[in-house]
Amino acid sequence: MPSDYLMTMDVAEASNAIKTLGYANEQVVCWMYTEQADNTTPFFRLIGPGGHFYTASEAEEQSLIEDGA
Amino acid sequence: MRPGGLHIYTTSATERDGLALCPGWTYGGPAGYVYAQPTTGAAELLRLWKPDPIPEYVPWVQGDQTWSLYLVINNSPYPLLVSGTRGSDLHDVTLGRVVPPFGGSLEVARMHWGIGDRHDWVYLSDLASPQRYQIYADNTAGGSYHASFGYFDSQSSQSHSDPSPFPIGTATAQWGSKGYWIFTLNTTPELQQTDLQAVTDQLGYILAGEALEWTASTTYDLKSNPELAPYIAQASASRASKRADVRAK
Repeated sequence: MPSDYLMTMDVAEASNAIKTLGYANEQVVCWMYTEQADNTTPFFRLIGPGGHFYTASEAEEQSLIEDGA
Repeated sequence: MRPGGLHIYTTSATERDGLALCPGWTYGGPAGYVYAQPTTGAAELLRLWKPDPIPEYVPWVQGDQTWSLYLVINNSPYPLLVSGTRGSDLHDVTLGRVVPPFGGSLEVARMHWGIGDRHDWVYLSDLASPQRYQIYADNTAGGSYHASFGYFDSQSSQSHSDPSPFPIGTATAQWGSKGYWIFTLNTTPELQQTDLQAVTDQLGYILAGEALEWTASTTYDLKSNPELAPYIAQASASRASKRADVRAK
C-alpha cells in the first residue's frame, strides 16, 4: 500500500509533492469550500511521523494531537 | 497516518468496494459529505500518494541458479488478483494474492535469470473492472531483455508477446537494474471486452476469499476452453461445502 497519502486543495503543494517528494497520481476526488460556509464543518489534516491523517471530527483531531500523531 | 493504519478517502463506491476486498482493509463509513461536482465557492480537493518503494533485491540463489523477480506496482484505484500463469519458466507464482491499489506492490513470480532463453506470462484479474491483464518478460540466451504489460490475449506467443497492448501511458514494463522486472499499472485501462474468466475470478475471490487455483500452462479462457466449466462448478461446490463445514463447527 502507499507509504503515504496526501490530500490538498493547494495546487502548488500538490505540484511540489510530485516534483520533489515522490508523490504521484494527482486526482480530483471532490470539491470543498476553502472558507467556512453555513452548515459545514472543518475537515482537518494532521501530519505525523507516519504520514498524513484526515478527519472531520474536532475531537479526533485533538486526540491525535495529544497523542503526538 | 494514524497509529494502527493508513486511511484512504474516496467518493467512489467502486473504489471503496475494491479496497474492501484487499486483505486487512475495512470500510469505516462516511467521513463526511462533500460535493461531487464543482460548486460556487468550492475548490478541488486533490489526492496523491507515494507508491511502495521498490524493495531491495536480495539475489534468489538456489544451487547454481539465480532468479529474477516479477514485481507488480498497482497505481490504479482497484485491486489486482494474481489469477493465472502460462508456461513453465516461472516459479512460485503467487496465485490468489492481491496487488493492492493506490501504489501497492507484490512480487508475483520468479524466473531463471541469465541462463538460457526464458519467457512467460502471469495473468492479473482486475477485481473491480472484470477483465484480465497479462505481464510478460523475456530474457534471451543472447542477453536481450523485453517486457510488456497489456490486455490478456490467449494468442500471445514469444514472437508476439503482447497482441493486445494497453493505450499509451496506461502501464510500463521494464527490466530494473536490481534483478526485478517491474510492471507498473498507472491507471485502469478502459474495458476492452467482457471477460468471462475475469468475472469467474472475481466471484471466486469474493465468495471463497481466494482465487480458483489452476494448473500452469493453461490459458484459462472459458470461451476457448469450455471444458473448464465443470471444473469451475466443482471447485465452487467444494468451497461451498468447506464453508458450510466451518459454519457447522
